[in-house]
Amino acid sequence: MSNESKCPQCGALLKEDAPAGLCPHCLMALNLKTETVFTDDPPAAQPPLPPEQIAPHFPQLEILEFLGRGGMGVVYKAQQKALNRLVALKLLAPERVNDAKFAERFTREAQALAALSHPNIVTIYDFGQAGGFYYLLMEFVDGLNLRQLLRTRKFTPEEALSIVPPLCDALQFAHDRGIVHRDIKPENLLLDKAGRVKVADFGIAKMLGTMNGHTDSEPASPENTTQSTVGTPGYSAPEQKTDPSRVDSRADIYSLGVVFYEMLTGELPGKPLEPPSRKVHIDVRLDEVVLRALERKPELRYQQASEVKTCVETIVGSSGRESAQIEMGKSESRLTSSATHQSPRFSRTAIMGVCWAALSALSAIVMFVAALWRHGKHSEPATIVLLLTPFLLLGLPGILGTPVLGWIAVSQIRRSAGKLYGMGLAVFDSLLFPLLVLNFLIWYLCIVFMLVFRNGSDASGRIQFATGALIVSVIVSALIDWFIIRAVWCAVNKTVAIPAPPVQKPDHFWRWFAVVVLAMISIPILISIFGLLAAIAIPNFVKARQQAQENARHAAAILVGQNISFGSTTNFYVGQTNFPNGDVIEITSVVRNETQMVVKGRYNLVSHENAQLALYISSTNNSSSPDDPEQSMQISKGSGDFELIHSHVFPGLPHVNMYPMGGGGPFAELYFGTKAEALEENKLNLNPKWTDEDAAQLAKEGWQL
Amino acid sequence: MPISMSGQSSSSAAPGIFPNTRWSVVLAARQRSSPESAAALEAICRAYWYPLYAYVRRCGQSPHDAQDLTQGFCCRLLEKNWLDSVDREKGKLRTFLIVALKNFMGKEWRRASAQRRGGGQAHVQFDTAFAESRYASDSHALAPDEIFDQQWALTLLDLTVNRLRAEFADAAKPGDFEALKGSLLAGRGTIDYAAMAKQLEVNEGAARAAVHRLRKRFREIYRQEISQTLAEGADLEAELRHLAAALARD
Repeated sequence: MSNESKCPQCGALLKEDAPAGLCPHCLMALNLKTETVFTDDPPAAQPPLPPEQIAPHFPQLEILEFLGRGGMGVVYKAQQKALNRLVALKLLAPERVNDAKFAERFTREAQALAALSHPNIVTIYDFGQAGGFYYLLMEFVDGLNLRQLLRTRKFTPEEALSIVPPLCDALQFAHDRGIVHRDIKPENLLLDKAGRVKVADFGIAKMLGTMNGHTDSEPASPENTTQSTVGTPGYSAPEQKTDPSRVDSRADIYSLGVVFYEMLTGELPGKPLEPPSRKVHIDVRLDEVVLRALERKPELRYQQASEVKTCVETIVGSSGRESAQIEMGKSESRLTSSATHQSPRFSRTAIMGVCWAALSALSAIVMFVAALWRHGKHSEPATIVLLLTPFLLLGLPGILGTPVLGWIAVSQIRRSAGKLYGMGLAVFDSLLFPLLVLNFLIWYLCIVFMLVFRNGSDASGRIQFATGALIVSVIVSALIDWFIIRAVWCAVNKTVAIPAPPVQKPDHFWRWFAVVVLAMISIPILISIFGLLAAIAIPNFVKARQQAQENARHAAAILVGQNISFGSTTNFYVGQTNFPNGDVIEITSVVRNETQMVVKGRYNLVSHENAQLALYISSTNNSSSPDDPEQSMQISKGSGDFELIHSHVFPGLPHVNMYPMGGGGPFAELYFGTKAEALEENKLNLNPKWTDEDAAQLAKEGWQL
Repeated sequence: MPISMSGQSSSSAAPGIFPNTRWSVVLAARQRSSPESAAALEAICRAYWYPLYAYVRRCGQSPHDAQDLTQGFCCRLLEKNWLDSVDREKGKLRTFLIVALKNFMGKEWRRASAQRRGGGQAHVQFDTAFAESRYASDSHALAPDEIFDQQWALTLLDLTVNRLRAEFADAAKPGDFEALKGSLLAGRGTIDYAAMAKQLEVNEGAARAAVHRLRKRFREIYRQEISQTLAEGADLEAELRHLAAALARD
């Protein structure tokens, strides 16, 4: 079918739809090659001029050597003959020499830069035009730039931290004078042999960023952005790309953040942004500083470089302990401060304990009820197990959990020296389950004792004795409980610092005790009643639905299994026809089972020379139907018989249509099917030709679904 | 409204006048429909119908139903005011079309197809053979969304290449395009400039310049095509990367 060919470049298979016969993958690769940032021609097109060629244009300088090339121009090391000092000569923008507007802007910018006299900013000594170039005469920094240092070795966090404050100073100094750097990156940060940081190329980006002759006030359009994007990808702030007119000093802070990140981790911040403390072992507070500087929205960043410096110096100054310790200290001080500043509050642990106890009690009751229920009716165990599980999971461990919480609460209250109260509840928590267990043990022992001792005596005597023994055991256990509670209570209250009138405290305790016991009794009762009702109702509901589904399936099965033969169209089938051009389709028989539908009939084609006759089932839920060859046939003008077979039967409205050869919509249509299907389609409002009388008539004839 | 959907996006057909598919124009004309926005929408339908068709087919529709769907969707697009729901900030044509199509498939199509069954409406010509054969040759391993994005990227490449060819034709140098087009694929170092110079009947320096111009122009046009499907101020590079990834998934 298609001539299979391969792309000469990448070897991929070329398909028919390849544009102009070219390989799409290679074409796409061409698009992804990165554009150069400033000029149209790549920088490699112009080799640097040797010093001898430059020297004649700068008589006051002795050009010593070529230092390097940046994105904006070339730099030479030179010596000012008169002053005998080393300077750096930067040459840029050879093609703009004759542009008057550019000259004016260049002058303005250079004058502003010359006013930046700061120990951390590379000073501009002179500027002008010579020999077909614009040039800048700058302070010579004997050292390396940050990029070279990063390449040779990784920075320790301390070194990175020592560079950032002077950087911030430089940035703040410039920002205060209204100058934004716009191109902060390691290549522009110089470190001299004395270890001093100097920022180079201040404002040059702004100068040159408007190189193509339009000012900042022009809106960015797609054609322009590719040619004069300012800034270095990776270091430039998001707004430098999307909204250059809104760029301000905060863009520098973003770039500073990127450099900081790179110094700490050795990588550029990526997507998703990982905090540096996850990559290297540093104080986690630095994360905040770096991440805030790297906020995508300028409003969310630090607004001043001096703020960054302050934060960094604070962290540096207070470091010396492990960061983990710092974290711990912070959280502890938070606790104690809250404890001293808040008014006395109720022990939360104690409350938790009692809640858990309530849950345990509830679960026990629910289990009890469920057991009864299960025993009484043989209903579905599944629902009951489902209801039970959460209770069991949460409730049973409460038997251990509550006392533990209670004892914790006791110790917390004792330690809090009056700031926490609720000792009563805490003691209740801690004693409730242990005492319950103890009591059950006592009763159990008594019953066993009774059984053992009175094995042989008669029934009534046994019952009497049993009752007596039970009463005795209850009294005994109650006494034991009382003594234990009293002892514990005295013990925990012994060292209370704040003396409280002894009369009040016991009242408080008993009140709480009563309230809790009442709650514990009533709530589970309510819930179990509700649960009982639900347990009765749900199975019935489920059963009813299942029954309805069964009925529907049964009815559908009946329909599908029938042998349908086409008699009169008005009696059995809804034959909705559409023959605007005078063609005719008639169905004489339809045989249908679960897997297949065979439709036979006659056609009379008048409006076309040739056509395609096809049998489709269109469903209301869009299930797909692959095309079988027996589903359609080619017919020519005139009349004839047809037999079409559809092998993927599913509920839907079947139709036989005529289509023009070569494609297009049908020009003759016959819809057929059972009344039920028609009703179903009608319900979904797909048959606008139906009137309400039609629907009513069908309903009257007893067709329901 | 009948739309002729012949396979004009295919490389074998002659390039016609390429419409200004400025999505921004369409977005800007949201509240009141103007003739420009209607024309732009119609041009959009014509240019990008194959990705829509491929999506619908991949969703499991028969060829017949898929044609109906795509056709109906395009008609709907022009009649109804769906644009009101498009997010002003991030309005991308690609995502708008796919979302609107999904919506349409879910709700509107059933109603629309019912009315069609009711009869009477004029039917439009569809180049089924082209659509189906192209679909058959596409990879069947991809999900509908993926195939939509992939075909979208291919459509954009098509439009770009055809525009390039048209530019050469306008300058009365159609043969030059055929000779130069191979250079769009090759890496910088592997182009045989000498042979090309001979073919173009110019010296080698001029051949180099011509190649450079062609590649640059290709990039520009492609970016323009993409930007025409994005709203103002959107992230072109991100869309470019997304399309490159979609294409590479084959």
